[in-house]
Amino acid sequence: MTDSSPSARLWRDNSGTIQLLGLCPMLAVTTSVVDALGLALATLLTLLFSATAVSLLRHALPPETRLVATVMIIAGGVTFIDFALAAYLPDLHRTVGLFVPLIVTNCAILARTESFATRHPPWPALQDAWWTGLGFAWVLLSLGAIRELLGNASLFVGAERLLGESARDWHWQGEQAWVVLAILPPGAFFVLALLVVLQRALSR
Amino acid sequence: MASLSKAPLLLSAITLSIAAGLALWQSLLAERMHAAKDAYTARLQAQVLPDSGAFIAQRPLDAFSTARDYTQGSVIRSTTPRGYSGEIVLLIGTTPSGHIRALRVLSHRETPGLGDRFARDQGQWYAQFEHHTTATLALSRDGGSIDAMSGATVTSRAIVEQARTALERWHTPIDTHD
Repeated sequence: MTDSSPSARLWRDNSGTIQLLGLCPMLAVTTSVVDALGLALATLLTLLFSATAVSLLRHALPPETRLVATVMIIAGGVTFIDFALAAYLPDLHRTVGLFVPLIVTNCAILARTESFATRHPPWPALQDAWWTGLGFAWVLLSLGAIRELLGNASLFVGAERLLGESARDWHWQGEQAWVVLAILPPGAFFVLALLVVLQRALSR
Repeated sequence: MASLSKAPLLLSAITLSIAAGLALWQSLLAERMHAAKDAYTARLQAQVLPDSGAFIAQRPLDAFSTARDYTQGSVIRSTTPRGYSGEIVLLIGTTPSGHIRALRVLSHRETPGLGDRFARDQGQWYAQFEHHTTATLALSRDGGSIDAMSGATVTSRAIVEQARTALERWHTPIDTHD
């Protein structure tokens, strides 16, 4: 849990596929690549913000209250990002907005800030947050891509919601969805299980 | 014990500074958030009826606006509580003869990826509503000609039935387009 090397955060101890943390947002928003990317960025920002803040306060916080303070700081960071999304990316906010407040309950963030940022200076904590966030992001993006491809026969639909009007034509739309189940809530579990199996197989 | 007595103070300080920061952040962004919401309403309104003016509250539950010269039709804003997970607000553009010009969902809380596909299929689902009147508005499984979004019948039916109700209410004889 205290290994902050990029290889551990991205692959060996990946918070998504290995530790299976943050399942709720991970499974709920990965119905399209664009939504997954939006939530991945919001999660990354939250991680960076809370790791820095908690690390700076680590000497001032007594162990008994550390957890409460950590949750509060994460909740504050998430609300900042939620407001910013509503103001600057309203189209994206309309689709992932429901899940942004849920980032607070993402245990991947709580686990890293609690187990790493509370014990290390800001710079290492920031790096750890960065790699944890990227590790979570690739899992979200893979899930989003596989589910959108199988369940909706498309990729990058709605890119303009995240990247502006010029991205409207970036998406690809096929004829017929192959496995509609993939985009339904149970499909999220199946696709995640596939990813986990795949990663284990590759790690052998 | 020293650390325990310090804890409440510290926690209060953290809470207060976060709250103050958020209040400041919100007040900085409030104008943008409102503008974004208004811009979205205006965008959808232009899609269902170009050149329609501001909304005028006229009847309970519905609000409507009309095209400037009153000959092109009206925009009805109508809310149904029968969505799969809460209210769905519709914007319906109508022709003077009572046909639907176009229909859009203004806000909803339907299941992402499933019940919100009307917003993700480049307008294909919405297009089914064009030219319908109250007489022909129904899901195909209810004897009409509108195909439900697969796996989201509740959402589809809520929208179709509210569209019919809204049209009925709007085009009853007590109408005065002025």
